Amino acid sequence: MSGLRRHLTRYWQGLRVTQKFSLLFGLLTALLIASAVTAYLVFAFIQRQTETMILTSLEIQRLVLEMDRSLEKARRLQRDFFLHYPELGLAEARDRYAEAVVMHVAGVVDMSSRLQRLIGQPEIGSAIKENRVDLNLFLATTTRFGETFLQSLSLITEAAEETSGREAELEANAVWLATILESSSDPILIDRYRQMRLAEKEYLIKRQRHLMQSVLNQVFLLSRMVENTSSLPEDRQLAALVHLNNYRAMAEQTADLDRAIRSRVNEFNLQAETIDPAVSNLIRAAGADVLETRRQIDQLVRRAAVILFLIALIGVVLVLAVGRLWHLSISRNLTRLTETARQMQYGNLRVKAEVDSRDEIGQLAEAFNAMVTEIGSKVSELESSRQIYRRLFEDSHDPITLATPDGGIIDINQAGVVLFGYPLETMKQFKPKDLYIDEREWQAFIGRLTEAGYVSGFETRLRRSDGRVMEVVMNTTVQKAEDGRILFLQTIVRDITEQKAREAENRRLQQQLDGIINSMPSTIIGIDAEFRVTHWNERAAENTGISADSARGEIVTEVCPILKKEKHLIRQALKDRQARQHNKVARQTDRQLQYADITVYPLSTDGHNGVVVRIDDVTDRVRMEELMIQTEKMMSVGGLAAGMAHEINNPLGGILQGTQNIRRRLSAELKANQSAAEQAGIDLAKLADYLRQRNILDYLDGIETAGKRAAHIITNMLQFSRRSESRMAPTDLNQLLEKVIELAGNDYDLKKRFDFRQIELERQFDPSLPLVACTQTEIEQVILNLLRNAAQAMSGPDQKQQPRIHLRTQYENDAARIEVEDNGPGMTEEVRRRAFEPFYTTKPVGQGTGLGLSVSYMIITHNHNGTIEVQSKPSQGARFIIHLPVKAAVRVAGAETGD
Amino acid sequence: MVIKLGAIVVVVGVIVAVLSTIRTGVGPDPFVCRDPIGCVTVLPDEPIKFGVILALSGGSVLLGSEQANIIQLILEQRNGRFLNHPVELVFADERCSPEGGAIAALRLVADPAVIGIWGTTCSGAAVTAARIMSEAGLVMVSPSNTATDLTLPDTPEGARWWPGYFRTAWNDSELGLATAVFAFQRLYLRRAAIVHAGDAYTRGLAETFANEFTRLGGEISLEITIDEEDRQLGPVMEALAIASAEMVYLPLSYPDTVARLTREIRARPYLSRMLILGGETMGYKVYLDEAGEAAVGTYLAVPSVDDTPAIEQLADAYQTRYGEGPPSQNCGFTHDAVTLLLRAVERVAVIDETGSLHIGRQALREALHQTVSHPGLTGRLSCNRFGDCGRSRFVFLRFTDLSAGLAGLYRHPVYFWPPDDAFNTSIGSSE
Repeated sequence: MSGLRRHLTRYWQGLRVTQKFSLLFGLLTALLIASAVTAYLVFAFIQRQTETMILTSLEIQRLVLEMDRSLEKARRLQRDFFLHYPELGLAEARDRYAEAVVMHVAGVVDMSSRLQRLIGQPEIGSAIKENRVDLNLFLATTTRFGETFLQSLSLITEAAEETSGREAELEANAVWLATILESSSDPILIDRYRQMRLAEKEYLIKRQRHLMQSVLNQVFLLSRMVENTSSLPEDRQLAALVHLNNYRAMAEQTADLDRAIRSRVNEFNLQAETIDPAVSNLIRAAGADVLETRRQIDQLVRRAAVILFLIALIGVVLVLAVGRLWHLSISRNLTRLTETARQMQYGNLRVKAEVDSRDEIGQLAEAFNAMVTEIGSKVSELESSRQIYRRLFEDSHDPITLATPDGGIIDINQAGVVLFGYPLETMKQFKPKDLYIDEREWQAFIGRLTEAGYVSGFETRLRRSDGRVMEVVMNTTVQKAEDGRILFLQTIVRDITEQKAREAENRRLQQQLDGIINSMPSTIIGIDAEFRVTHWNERAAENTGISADSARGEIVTEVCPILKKEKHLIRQALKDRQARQHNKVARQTDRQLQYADITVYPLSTDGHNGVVVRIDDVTDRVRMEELMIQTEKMMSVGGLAAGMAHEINNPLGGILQGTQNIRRRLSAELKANQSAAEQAGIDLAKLADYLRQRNILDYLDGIETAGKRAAHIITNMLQFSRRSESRMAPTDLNQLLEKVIELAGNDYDLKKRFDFRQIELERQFDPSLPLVACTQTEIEQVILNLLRNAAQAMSGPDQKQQPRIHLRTQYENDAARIEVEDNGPGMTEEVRRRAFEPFYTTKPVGQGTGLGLSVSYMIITHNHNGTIEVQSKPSQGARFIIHLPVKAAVRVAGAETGD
Repeated sequence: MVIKLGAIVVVVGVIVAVLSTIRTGVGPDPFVCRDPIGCVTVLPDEPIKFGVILALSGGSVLLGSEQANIIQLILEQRNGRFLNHPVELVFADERCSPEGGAIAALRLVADPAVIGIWGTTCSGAAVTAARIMSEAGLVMVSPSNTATDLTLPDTPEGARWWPGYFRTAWNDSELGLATAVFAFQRLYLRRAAIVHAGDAYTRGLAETFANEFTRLGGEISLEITIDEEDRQLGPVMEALAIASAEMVYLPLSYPDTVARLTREIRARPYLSRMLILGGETMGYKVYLDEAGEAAVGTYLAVPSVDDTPAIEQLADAYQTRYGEGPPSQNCGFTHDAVTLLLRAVERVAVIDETGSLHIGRQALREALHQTVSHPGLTGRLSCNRFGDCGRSRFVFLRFTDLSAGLAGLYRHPVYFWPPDDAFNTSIGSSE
């Protein structure tokens, strides 16, 4: 609460006098308007409330009384109807009384509904509401009264209607019966009939049930008599019985109708007993509500008077409050200010105006007080400021000069004297040319100063008193007069000679380091602890195609994908601070598998940890290792095969020779055979027949064919150990390849399994390819072998596209490069690795010896010092690449051609 | 200054908004009545109101008074409270007549706080009262209405069935049939006269009896209607004499009327051999007192109820509370009517956060219809779709020894209905 008060006090003190005036008079105006509006609303409300309440109460009272009157009238009419219908006749009584009853009942029901709606209004007094049950009962009973009356009307009509009512029919049957019985002249019958009629009349007068039972008893007895009488002809007898039966039925129905009508009459009485207290209650409640309404109106008027009095009281209090506020805020402060001014007039400059307000009067008082204070403090402030400035000037470790706009020294501090080495007085004589090594720099300095109004970080060279040149950096500000004229230049000079020398040395070292790193064949990447690139040598840029500027700051795995799988190495090196290495990391580029050794060295620089990653491309080394292993393997296998071939060759020769001898000695044409046959008693012709019938000659053919095939294999095996004895000659490989293509087209073995003409051959021959020294037949054999393999591979069911073979030649790195590439099914890595192994084949048994590529390998590597390799992946075809050295060829060619 | 005034206005607005939110937020959710025919709301500390329409005057006042006493007794045993509210009973006299039933029903339905009604005593009063209370959306459970057409809407008289009407008493269609079978097959009577009062109850019984008796091969030689308050019985005797019937069936409402008829018949030598067979109204002490020796040899059919300690306890409590035992053997039906309605109200009553009680009127009707195996004193009650909740089991008795009073009467049952009911039923005594 006190906080709010403080806040309001501050707010009020912050207002201007005009705002205070506006607020106070606004408040007063609002108060007057609010009072007027409130009074109007109160009176309007009271008027409306009282009018509504009085009108509603009166309406309720009127309705209740009207309902009571109408219902009483309806009941009177109903009684009159019952009383008079026997004498007036039913139709007349209905017109005179019944319709009026219905009309009055409908009116009562309508008024009851209106009354219920009125009672539902909120301004209605509680007495009538508390009698809602009575009202409901009144409404329900009135409705029931109407229904009961209509039912009784219907019952009476049914019983007493002049022509078709039950009583009329009873009478009609009795008259008919009398006519018939009188015709019989039987006094007993007529007497019984009269007794029946007497009983009937008594019933119709008294309407008591037991009397009707007497009638019915008489009817029963009379019926029996009529049945047994002989005084009536048969047709009349029957007619009398029919009328008696009808009479009985009408009599019973009349009794039932009377009973029902009596029930309704009883109900009318009960309704009257029920409804009368309810009506009394309602009338009493309506009267009570009128009285209550008047009491409430009086209460409302009293409350309105109290409210108006309170409004007037609040208005007076507020006016007093506004006046008090006016005095405290304005008139009292004006009095104080006037007194303060008077004291100042008499020279008392220490006096102060005590005004606790921030309005114009408060501000005026503050201005008074401030004037006196300001005058006293200005002088001391000036002196103090001058002393501080001088101390700063003299104590500065940096030389500070004050100079005229044309460069003349006005003043210089002790540090400046020490730096330049001149006495102060000497320096005051200096012009810029006396200090600047190059006077154009002075001009540049002035130019920047004129343009910007100050100079910051201006580097130049100045001369010392001992003649040494020093590098300095100058920061200059301009001190101007009020008219904009330049008073002097204040310059802080800093000697940066040593700093410059250090920077130059650092740059040189950096360039040297960069040169070392960039000259390394390895990819060198510096990485910080967040895996961001800090260094990126030229090899890295060359390998990734990303410049050092682009790579620096990036996550290393984003710019050097090979390191994505080596993050753990980097993490471990960062953690353990020990070098980590992962060798022969394989990476597929285009169609070539490349290998790299990755080494991660921990690095700490200025307390920041990081690593240096070195990536060495070892693809060639790995290939070379593979080649060496392959060659060694081939040589071992070759030696073994050659040994075995020699051993097998001799018995094989014996087998083939023996076979030929057998065939010769079975021939009937040789005389030796004829004489031997004669001595043995054998007919050679029959023997021949026998041999044919038993297929012995076919077996001999089989032995011979198998032997020759074995001999062919042996011949191939001997290739491993035997350097070709063929002569090497300078050869145009492009022509050689054309010749091989022609051979392939005519190759029977090739044709019988695959039509070579269906293969598209694409040639990309290098016309600048020099002559290569080689044994033509061997190279032809190698190329033909590769073409056969390709054709066979593309003949399988897995071939989905047009078979195609690319033949390429190219001169590169002093070697002739021959490529044979197909678009066949390719090979798995396992197959590719073992492709050149002897006896390794993927063809079905019997279709290949597994020596073709082994022999090709030996021809290229062993006989021609070349290389042969295969690149392939499943579903991506295969590419055989042969390198044949050109220098050797030239040398050999030279040797052969003349030397 | 304008900005500061604006800030004050905003702050005041926010405070007012927050206060309004708090004011509206803390109040309980008001109950919303979704019952198709409305709800009764009983505010905390207000009484819960039940209506009672019984024959508190006229010829059936004995039965009506007994029923009123039992209703009050059961509520007193609950300390006059139900569902934490005091119970207020609003009584109305039906006078055992249709007009009385109508006026009584009008009185009760005028008060919208009345939840349900116990009554009526007489079927004739129920004919009008059931319609009025049904149209007002109430339910009414009668302990003694037995008229056939009150709960058989598929009969020609079925227009008298109204939704919301229930009864724990039996249906006369079964009693009339049982009486005819008893007269024809056990008493070997073939010619019968019927005297009834022409109202729903007595006419219904008479017609059911007549139909079955005729179907079995008997003859109804006389069927007459009397005014039960008419004391002139000469013409009736005369008619009975003319009818030459072997028996007279007296399905009437007032015990004294039946007693008067019995005396008149026995006083006439020509009717002395006529066998008298009546309904449960002959099971009142009034009948015995007024008929005197003439009652000897008369037969009557009364409802058969299980002889359980609970019924004895109720009779003992009645004796203690009112100084005399219940005048009839039917107090169990009243007890069951009371508990049936209270149980249904318990099942549907909703108490909201203010403690107010809300009872859906249609829900209450449905709850009563769904009553299954309610443990009543007259047996386990299950209500069918037309409001019949009671069981139809009867026993036929014969007055032989007046000195033993009603107790003696009940010691000698002569016939049970259904016939196989004899093995598990015994007859109680109230005298």
